[in-house]
Amino acid sequence: MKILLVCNPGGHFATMQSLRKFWSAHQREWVTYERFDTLQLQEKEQVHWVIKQEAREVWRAFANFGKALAILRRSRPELIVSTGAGLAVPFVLAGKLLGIKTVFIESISRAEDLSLSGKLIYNLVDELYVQWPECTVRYPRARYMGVAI
Amino acid sequence: MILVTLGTQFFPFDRLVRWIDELLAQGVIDEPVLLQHGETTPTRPMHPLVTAIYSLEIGEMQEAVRRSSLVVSHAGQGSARMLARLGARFVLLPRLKRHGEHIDDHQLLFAQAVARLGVPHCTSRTELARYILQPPAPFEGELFKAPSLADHLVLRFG
Repeated sequence: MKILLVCNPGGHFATMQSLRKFWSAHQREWVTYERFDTLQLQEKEQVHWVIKQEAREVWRAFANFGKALAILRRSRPELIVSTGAGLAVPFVLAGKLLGIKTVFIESISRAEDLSLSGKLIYNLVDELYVQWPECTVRYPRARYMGVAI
Repeated sequence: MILVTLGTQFFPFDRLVRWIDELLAQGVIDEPVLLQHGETTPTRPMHPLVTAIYSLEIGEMQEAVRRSSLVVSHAGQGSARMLARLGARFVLLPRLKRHGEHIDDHQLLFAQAVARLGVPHCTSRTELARYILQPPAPFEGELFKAPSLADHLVLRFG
């Protein structure tokens, strides 16, 4: 299966790396922006570098939405997987518009409440995984199937 | 020795550096401190007991943890997991948004979440002083003894 892995640098990138057992078996492309940690991807993986988009940077999210549409049209993945944070929003939205299946994995920091990104895409994303069972209480669409570490 | 680790985030964490310096000046800390400061470059001369270093290699970090009577760490997930795995005596001090130490308060949320698993954290200098005078017991067990989400995704999507 062809998958697109979408994550911000830092902890979200580390979480995605911890899912290697899953994504390594698939044809894949990455979406992130440049930081000292994500830069190491360029040697081994195919990466689409997008605009740095940190928390609540709405205009940058709009710009990345445009990039998301272009990347998805060109790459045609069957599945988009995001471990957050903000980059998940434009890519899940674009995926929804193009009829591509989407999966969002909430940060392990969120034990009872979703992140802003999680809340924004809650009703759009096909599957949403949280890493604490308690987090499914307020969010019945969310599922707890273990942790990504 | 007390190991203080601030992670490698771009955001400064001067508050913890200042508290360590003040606790040294007050004599609450009376042993050497190894400060892994990352992007938080200490702006003033530190107490003579402090050794400041930008970052430690993973092996150096583990060795420093083993030699420490207490580790004070920012509430980063990677650091917390490593400290738990090594069975360290440690306390988390979350970076907070209101001091410009991170983009949001997820470190506080993370610290509160792992508190139920027995990981101590503090948010004030007074609490920190208490942990320095009376370090917590070495952490036992695993921090996240749970099923693997990667395994689930393999079953779900191949």
